Amino acid sequence: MRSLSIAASLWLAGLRGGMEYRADFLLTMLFGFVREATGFVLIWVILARFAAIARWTLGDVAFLYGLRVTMHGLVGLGTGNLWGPESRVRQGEFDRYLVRPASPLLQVLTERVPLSAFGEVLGGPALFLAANQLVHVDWTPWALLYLLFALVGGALLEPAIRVLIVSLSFRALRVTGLMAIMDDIFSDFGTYPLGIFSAALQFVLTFGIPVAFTAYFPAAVLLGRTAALQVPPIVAYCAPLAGVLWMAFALAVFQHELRHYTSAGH
Amino acid sequence: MSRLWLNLAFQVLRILLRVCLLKVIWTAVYAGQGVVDGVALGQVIAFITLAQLQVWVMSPLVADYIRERVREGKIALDLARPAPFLGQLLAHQLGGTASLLPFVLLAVPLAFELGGLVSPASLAAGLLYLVSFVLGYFVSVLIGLVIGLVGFWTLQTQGVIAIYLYVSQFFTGALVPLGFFPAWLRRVADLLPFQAQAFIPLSLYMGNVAPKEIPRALGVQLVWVVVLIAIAWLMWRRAIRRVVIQGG
Amino acid sequence: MSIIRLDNVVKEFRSPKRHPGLTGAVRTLFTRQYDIKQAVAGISFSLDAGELVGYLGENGAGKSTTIKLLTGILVPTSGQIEVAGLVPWKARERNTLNIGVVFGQRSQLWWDLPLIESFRLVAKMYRVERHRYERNLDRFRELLGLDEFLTVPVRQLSLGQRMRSDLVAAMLYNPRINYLDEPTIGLDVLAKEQVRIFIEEMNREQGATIVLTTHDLGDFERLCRRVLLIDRGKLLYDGSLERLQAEYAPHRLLVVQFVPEAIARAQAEVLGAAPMIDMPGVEIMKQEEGKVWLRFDPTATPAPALIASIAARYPISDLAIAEPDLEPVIRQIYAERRVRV
Repeated sequence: MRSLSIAASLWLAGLRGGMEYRADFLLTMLFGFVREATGFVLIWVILARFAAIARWTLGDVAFLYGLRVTMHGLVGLGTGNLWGPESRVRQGEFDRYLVRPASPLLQVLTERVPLSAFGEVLGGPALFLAANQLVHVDWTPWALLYLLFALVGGALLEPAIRVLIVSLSFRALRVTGLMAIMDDIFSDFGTYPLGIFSAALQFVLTFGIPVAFTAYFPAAVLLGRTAALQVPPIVAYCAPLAGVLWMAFALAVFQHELRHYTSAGH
Repeated sequence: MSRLWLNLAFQVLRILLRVCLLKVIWTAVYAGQGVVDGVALGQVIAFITLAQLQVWVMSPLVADYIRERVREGKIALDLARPAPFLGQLLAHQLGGTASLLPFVLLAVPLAFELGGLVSPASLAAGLLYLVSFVLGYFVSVLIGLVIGLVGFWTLQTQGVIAIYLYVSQFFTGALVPLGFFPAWLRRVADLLPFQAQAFIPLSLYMGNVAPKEIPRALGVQLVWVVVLIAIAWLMWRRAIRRVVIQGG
Repeated sequence: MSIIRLDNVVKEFRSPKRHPGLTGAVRTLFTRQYDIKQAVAGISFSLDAGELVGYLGENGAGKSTTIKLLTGILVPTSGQIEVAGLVPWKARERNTLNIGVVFGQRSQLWWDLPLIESFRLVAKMYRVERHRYERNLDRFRELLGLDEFLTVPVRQLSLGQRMRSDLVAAMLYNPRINYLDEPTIGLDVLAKEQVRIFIEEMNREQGATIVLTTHDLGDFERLCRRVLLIDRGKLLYDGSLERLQAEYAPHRLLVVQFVPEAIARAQAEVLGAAPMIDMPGVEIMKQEEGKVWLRFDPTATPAPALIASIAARYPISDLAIAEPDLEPVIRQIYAERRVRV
């Protein structure tokens, strides 16, 4: 419990640090929101003209989009700072985390909290609720519970990949830019119903880079579209679990690779 | 040096990834129909591919430079001496674009293969494209300047640049051809400088512009260059005045 | 009872053998050959609680690597390390509760927040209860003059202020052991003195064991009684400063100023090469304008005896005794790459 309190203090410090750094809190939040909004307007324009994409209508796609943006916001709040550390590992600044009595990963994550993520955490649910006007989802208590699990599980997947990338950098590998590509993949490819991709690509995006498990499968489950999926429905239902498994794997790899850390420089 | 190359290589990768994604999306959207609204799928994809490459070449490097100067607190000095500063900006922009070129050349064959890029509609189209591209490049540099100057007030250029990149892509037709826009949105797009920056050169390349429309198209670009120069100049003066009042 | 123990510790760094040229670059990707660099090549020593030890060595000698091994940042290739009963790299987080670390070049404080926030966070992380935190903070504020910048964001602090802040952060929770890596680097004379006084106080007041790595011989002479000299990963010397000085620089310098009337007579005798002082181990180094520099061996002729002897023959207006410079000693040791003690 004490470590939870320490984690919370560190996170708040990261938040305050972020606010000291940014001149205008509201403006930053706005930017985060606008960025996602532009992405959505794109789909909206397409669907205004073309009615459906891989049989998903505007409402379906908005539902998916809102879900994904909310998760991306949560990812940003929790691990937004994870873009930084792999360069810190190379420069040997990681040392300072290793001499403090807290998980080095936790310390890195909380060093600065990107405020733009707040924009997504507000905009995402707004879009999601709006989308609900257009689709028919039976919101039973089970469905709500599933939604909650899906949010948490989905928000764990991208961080898990980021943690894995950071772990790679312990072996003095150059992974600059890989983070950015991963973010692109999750954001760009995850925005669309995966049905539009070839079977091979779908496989890669399911079992290779787990984009499908993030928002697509949970959305499909809630929208009752599991029949058209490439995988058996049960896999889609267990999507939240994927997040937990991937994260556990990533953390284990991180701990293991920490041993190979050779702090460079002086 | 190699870090820069690695960075640029990754940028190429990101662009190709995006191009592939857009190709897949549009193929799915067309759902087997060869032509929609008189536009063939192949044309859409070619257009988008070229547009994406163009957006990259026309990145607002000038805005970044100004942002750095603002951050270092040296912007006041720069504004007070416009001639050398403009020289520096131009050098920075051209230098940046020059370092992009080898990678653009690398990307072009890949764009042909993966992205469905096609050759210009005709030799004339190709030549017109070059002229129009230069004009469009000027427009983008000026937009970059304006954005950079906005950063002088808001101290937040990074966010503005990010928004600009998304919005400009969108209204250039680099994501959805403008032909598919709902009418009112199309009118909005017409009012923005992104037409002049990218859409017009692209249309000329694809041969979508009727011969008698060509002078008008180039004219629009020129008008925007003038308008942007005026805007930038006004902002510059405002900025200088504020520096003088506040003491930098 | 030693609180820190190193037993034949070795740390090797492996890096892929680099081949020259373009084809070489490709080969490097596939190579299985490695260059092995021994940063630490079998070091053993132990420290008792409350010692203030100076860890001296040139750049690349293995100083920082040893500290990183002791703090658990690096895992040794072989050998045993025990710090306060724990093996640092095995029980890393638990070990951190016992230690305080100051990296001279890099701060551990929260860059964007006011300084006081960093202190509060440190207190929270190390589970320092409020009463002890406030008591420590008050004491340190007094010693280092922090009040003027407690509310300033760390990134706006000057080097001297930041260094003092890092020291406080490291001592705030009264760790049993402190590793101070170049804590006075880049500081001006005043700040250096403040820091040295602080370190001295912490060692004295709180009985903290302190391992001080430094290039600055001033730090050394002022604070450390015991010296660990490392070169090329090996320990060249482990012992007291006095013994080192006695062996390499046993001589001290006596500077004598004669009263004006006696100058002429003294000068005549000196120039006349008549033995001014007939005592063993005394040598005249130079003389000018009534001042004479005498080098003497205190073991052969103790200072008081020498002074008395001179004063008996010539009226003295002023005198001074200088300690030998440590720097030539160190340089000589490095030059010989060994220590003859």
